[in-house]
Amino acid sequence: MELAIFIVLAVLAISSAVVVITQKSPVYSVLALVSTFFALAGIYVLLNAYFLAMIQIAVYAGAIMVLFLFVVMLLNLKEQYYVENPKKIIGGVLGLAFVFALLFPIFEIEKNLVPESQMPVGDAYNIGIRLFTDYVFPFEIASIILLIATVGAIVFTKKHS
Amino acid sequence: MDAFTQNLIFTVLKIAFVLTFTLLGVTMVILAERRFSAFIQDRLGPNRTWFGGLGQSFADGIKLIVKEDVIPNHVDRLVYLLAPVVMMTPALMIGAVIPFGATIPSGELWLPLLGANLENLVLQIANINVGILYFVSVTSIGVYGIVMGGWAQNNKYSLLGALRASAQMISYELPLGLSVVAVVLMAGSLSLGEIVKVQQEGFWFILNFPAFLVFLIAVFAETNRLPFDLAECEQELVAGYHTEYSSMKFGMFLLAEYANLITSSAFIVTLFFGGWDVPFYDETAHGLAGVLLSVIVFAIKISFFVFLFIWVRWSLPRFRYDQLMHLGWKRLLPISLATVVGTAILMVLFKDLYH
Amino acid sequence: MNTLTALQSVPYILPEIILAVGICVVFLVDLFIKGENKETVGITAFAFFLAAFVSLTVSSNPPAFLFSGMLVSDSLNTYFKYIFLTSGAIATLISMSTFTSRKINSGEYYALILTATLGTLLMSGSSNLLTIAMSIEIVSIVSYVLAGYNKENMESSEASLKYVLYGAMSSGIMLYGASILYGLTGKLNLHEIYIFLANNSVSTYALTFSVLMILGGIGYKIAFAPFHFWCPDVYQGSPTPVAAFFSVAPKAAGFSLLLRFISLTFTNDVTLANWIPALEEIGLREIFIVVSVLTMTIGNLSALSQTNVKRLLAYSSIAHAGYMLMGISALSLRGAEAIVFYLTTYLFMNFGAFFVVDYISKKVKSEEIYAFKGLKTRAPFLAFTMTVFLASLTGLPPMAGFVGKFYLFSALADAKLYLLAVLGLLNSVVSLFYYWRIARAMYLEDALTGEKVEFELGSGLLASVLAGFTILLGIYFNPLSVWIQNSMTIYFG
Repeated sequence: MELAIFIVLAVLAISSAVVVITQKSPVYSVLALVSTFFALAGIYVLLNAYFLAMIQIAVYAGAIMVLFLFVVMLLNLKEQYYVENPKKIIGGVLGLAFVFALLFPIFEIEKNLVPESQMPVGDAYNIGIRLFTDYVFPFEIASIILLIATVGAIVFTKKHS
Repeated sequence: MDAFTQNLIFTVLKIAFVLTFTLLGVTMVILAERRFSAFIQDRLGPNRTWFGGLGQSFADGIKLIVKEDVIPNHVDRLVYLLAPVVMMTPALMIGAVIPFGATIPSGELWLPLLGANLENLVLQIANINVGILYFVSVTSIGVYGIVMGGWAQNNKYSLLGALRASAQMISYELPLGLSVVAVVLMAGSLSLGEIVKVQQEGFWFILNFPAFLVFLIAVFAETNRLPFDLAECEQELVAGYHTEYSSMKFGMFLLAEYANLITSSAFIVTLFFGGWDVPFYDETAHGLAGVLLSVIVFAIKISFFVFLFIWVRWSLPRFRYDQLMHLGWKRLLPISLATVVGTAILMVLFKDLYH
Repeated sequence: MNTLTALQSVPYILPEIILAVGICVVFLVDLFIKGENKETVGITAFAFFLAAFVSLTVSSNPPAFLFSGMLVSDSLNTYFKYIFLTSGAIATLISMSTFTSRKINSGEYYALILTATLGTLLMSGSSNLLTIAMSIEIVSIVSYVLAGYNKENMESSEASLKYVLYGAMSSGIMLYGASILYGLTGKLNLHEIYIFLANNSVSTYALTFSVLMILGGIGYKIAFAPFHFWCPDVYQGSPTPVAAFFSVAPKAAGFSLLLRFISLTFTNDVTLANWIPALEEIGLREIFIVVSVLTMTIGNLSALSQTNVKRLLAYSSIAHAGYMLMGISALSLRGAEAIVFYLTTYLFMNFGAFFVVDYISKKVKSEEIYAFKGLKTRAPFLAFTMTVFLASLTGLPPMAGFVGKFYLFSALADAKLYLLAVLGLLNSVVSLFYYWRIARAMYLEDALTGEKVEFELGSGLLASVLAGFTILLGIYFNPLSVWIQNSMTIYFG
């Protein structure tokens, strides 16, 4: 049962991700990306990471992708026609080779690093405890990254006085 | 019959109940809105169909279904067809986490067909431990219906409506989420069942009035109701994001709007007015009757807020776009942040009052 | 093993905290300073660098893993912190002399420099895959913004965009690699990964692949081949003080991270003599030999045909990364010492070279080599310091660069990598040609105009300090070398 749900979600995630990069219309790409995020959230639920799944939807699907759509629609981007370039094929072949090279290590990975019975439930309590003890440092670093990214965005968009 | 099947049956029954309540509720709310607006404007409103107009919404529904379904040539077909569905789904999904009545104790429910060994029956479809986050995330994806619909129609008024809707949703999601954080702080849990329980044992969270106020305003914005209905505002944008929808597709937008109204009211009640809690009454005291009373009280509380929504709509003028942004970012956001901090400080100072 | 909790770790990261406070204070100072008096912001930033430097000198903490193993603090880390703080301070000074003439929003600029320095400090202390990724991300994001700081300049915007694209790609590759390594070992902490690898056998293919991808992420910061393509465009397009900073601080941070990653993951031997078999299996030494030869050859050969001085210096910095990578492939304590020594000398000579280029290009409004013609009459002092820096970059005695190269080659000879050493020497010879082109333009060719280049006291002082260190470390290098030897105790827990 769980495996079946996983396969459905995984196929949905990967096929929408392929649509994202093959689709010529930017709006379709964005919508496909949203569906990828939903499939990912489903996979998180299968992994007991409820908190992460909900945050994934609220933040990525609900806020960031809406902003993407907003910008795409505001610029009124029509379908993009790319110049056909033979280099694209080389890039594609190399990319596929990379994907396969990535696939093999995945099968080598130790499957039972964490036994299923010991898998912690990813609810707000557990995440909060870990986030404010062992992972408090990366958490604070993330705040600096966000601060500086905000400053950067303002630097780039502010009109010169 | 094993526990799994029992669970399944009761879950299906609960889903059926919530959906019926929401959809029937929508027809009633539409009628109430029309009659009440008529009262405010000194008219009569629809009062002929069935018993004093009770059947008006059903008649309108039949009309919408049998009308010709026009799909204009210039639209983006796939997105155009998807949009009403995407609009409708989150509106109905939200009901899944709302507790709509007191728990039925195991001894009380006698359903011979299903076996007598049933445990306590929680009147809530899914008591997930991240219920509040579920609410926040499902509300936030509600905007996709509007945005997709507005874009797919390929005309500038609809697009403008969609643009306004997406900006508005993102702006008001922050105060919404932050005011909910204050509630979570007081309840000590993200689970809605737990939040209602805490209020039942202590006091209603309406005592945290700033959080309630921010939440209420943000919910108005998230449901696109006046004074925040910039996405459709008929004087400027024809009908905004659903200009070129006809027949039942238009009906679904309408349905979703009013379904959102009901679920949002249910959330206001759950978070700030004790949910199904009947004041000064022990719901478990009189068995099934007490539970029934709690469900009815919950419905009454919801009706009050639906009434408030309608009242506001017919009393206030619409915001201008810059006023909307100003209110969201420069007023509500700081207030909600202050609320979170203030609640946390009070929680520490008066620790003994809680839990 | 001495692993501290969050609260216990706070005294260990005092410089980082001072820099973080500095970021906020600089924003506030910028907010309240009105009008043209923008130099105050730069002075504030410099004061915070100074404070961090002082706090580093006065504090003496025993080596430990901090924040439950997220960071490591030891003498190597402390030494690198000196390098980063110095380069941040120098970048601030150069920027103050550059940006006075332009109307540029300086508050954010100095805050960004402070943040970039903070990121490099964190990079050198990271002992956990998570912290590695995040600290690299801080440095990267700040770099994207700094590269595009001249918004009205198309080249600057182009530099920023290229940087973002390459950076996003290599961050992604690195995170994939980290996730595979985590999947193989179930650990994020580098030392725990070492314990796992030492006691269990994992698939060589998967391990090689993951380590290669992590090296890709680090390699992008160091700009080693084949991750160097962004480097010339970004250096050319960025404001010159920023390019100078890029060519030193993130590069040094990348090398410190590389040293830390390799040593923590593959050994627990303080002398760096015994490595676990996994290192041999994935052929790390061979990988670095190939990479270093590729990097220095590409850097040097491409630099030969450049006419833009900033671009030339960019390729030269790629070549220098290649030299230092030779030290990594020695996989010994002496190799590591040589790298640290080389980085220290590189700090002074490269900043010096960029500073003179910045000064001249600001005055004569050109970054091409012909703008340097006849500089011996137009600006005799700057021409002299430039010659010092160029000679040091080439590796001619008695400059600091010579000593650095000497240490590197002797480390190679120690590790019996004679062929690599010969290739390195050949490359140094090639580099002589293009450095000589600038020197020839300055001394042997006639100036286009006889007009003197205006001399500013502060800038002259800075140039002479940098040149002074470049010469001093070439003659009297023993104290530094002893200091580095004492600092080379890597903490393994």
